[in-house]
Amino acid sequence: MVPAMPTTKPLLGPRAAGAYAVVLALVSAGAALVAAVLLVQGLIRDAADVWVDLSDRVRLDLDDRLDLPEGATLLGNLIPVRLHVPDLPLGLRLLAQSGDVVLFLAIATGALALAQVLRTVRTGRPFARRNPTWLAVVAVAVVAGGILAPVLREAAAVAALEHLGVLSDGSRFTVVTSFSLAPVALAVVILGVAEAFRRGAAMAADVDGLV
Amino acid sequence: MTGGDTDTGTTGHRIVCRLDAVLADRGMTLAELADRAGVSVVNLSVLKNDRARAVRFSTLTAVCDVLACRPGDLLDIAPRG
Repeated sequence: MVPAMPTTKPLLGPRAAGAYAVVLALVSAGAALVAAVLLVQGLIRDAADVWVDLSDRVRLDLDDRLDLPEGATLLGNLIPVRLHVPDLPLGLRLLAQSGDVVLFLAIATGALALAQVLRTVRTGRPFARRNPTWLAVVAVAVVAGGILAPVLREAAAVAALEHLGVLSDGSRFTVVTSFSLAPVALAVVILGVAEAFRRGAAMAADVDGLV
Repeated sequence: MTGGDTDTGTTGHRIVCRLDAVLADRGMTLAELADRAGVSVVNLSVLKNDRARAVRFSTLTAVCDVLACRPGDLLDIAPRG
């Protein structure tokens, strides 16, 4: 008798994988729609909103005006606010929208790519040939949404403050450049999973036709 | 060597399975063999119809035990061309 192959309970069954794939496809469609709306807004509106930080001096002024009880005080060097900037040229309006557009496009792309992988899990072909590529797309989307989008937001904020002529004094507003390693770390993990899928696909090809 | 060099066609090999002849000689059906050898009918069908690309030693052992034959009785190699 040939010993039976050991079986384990799947971590993600076909039904759950299919359900998640549908949810991700819907998320992808929704995010793509939001990105399109944001882009159109940038085209048709004559103003834009950008994220800037209030300077420490403003925070101290605000602290004075709030007339807080003795001992209570605002903390933090920077207070983020959304600044409405009217009468912006088209290029600046598009730049102001670009951060959010890139973020939602990254969500749409990443969710769609992950949905493709889950679809193959649902049909019992987790090591389909294209899955490593789809996972690599997810990794790129994570980096784009986690790093490129904030950089574009900061660039738009600087450009908007320059347009208003309030950047040079640096006393009221400031833009802080931030860089998080978390998206890069997550992308590396996803690429590791993609490599595991690639090797799994090679092993699946090896045992194809094995009896 | 590549498939083209050894006249292996699209399958990559020239191994042919004579399981159907051995089964007929023993008066045994594929389902009966599957039941007694503990190998699925699907896998034995793949083997019998020359659609297998590799055979586990454990599968070969189980089939040979039931059919009281040697691996060479089940497998042959087709001539080139």
